[in-house]
Amino acid sequence: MTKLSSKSDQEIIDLLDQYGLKHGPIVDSTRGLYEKKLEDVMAKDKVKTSSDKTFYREEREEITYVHYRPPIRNEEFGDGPKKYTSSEIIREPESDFSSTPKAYYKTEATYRNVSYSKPSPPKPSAAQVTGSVKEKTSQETRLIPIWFQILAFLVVAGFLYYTFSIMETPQENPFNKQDE
Amino acid sequence: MSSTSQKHRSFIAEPMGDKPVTALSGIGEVLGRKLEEQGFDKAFVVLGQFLVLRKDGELFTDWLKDACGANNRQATSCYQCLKEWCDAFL
Repeated sequence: MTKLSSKSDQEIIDLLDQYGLKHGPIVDSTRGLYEKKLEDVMAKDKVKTSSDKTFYREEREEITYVHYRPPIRNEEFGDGPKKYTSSEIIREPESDFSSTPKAYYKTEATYRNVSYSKPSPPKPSAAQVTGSVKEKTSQETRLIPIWFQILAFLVVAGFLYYTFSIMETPQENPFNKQDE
Repeated sequence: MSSTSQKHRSFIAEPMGDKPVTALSGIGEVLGRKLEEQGFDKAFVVLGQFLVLRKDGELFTDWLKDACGANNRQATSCYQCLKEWCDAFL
């Protein structure tokens, strides 16, 4: 992008065609204009591709969820296929995408294994409720991570506000009494 | 469209010959000097640039704004002037 000025005229023409820009001959007096136009278009294009990447992540996560869910219920059959499917899913993004998403999926998978193994053995009623909540939230992680992030943020924020309001009321009462 | 100026009408009335760049409508003293500094001293040199940009209004006005700091109205006026001259004489 920054090396447009070092490109040959033919390369500039190819780029203009690639981005569908109308152009005439590239000569000294017109080259600057076309370089500017290309920079604008390329800057816009960069934004678009980055938003596409997040879209792919969502898709992948949806797939992992579908594969993963059944083995938990049938615990006897679970272990073998579960590992295979999850490892397959991890490999797919490795081949398709760059290194950042890859690391992301790996941590996702390991996190899920841990989170599911913990709540299942102890079964008091309170733990079951929290477990189902965890399942729901992690469902949304795989389907739409942005939703989940916003939801989690709202839940945390609501919880913090709730505790804050609870803590504030006892403080207010003695204060008022002092005033009176 | 907007009414054409006297400068516009006189420019498209005859072949441009060796007219200076300031003969183009939309190009006054200041813009003319800036263009001259870049080698566009005659109206026909600007015509050449106009033609090499394929008579494209957007490209030409963008170039003119870039080259001499013309505003939108000045650039459009110059474009109209050259376009009509081409329609008449090219």
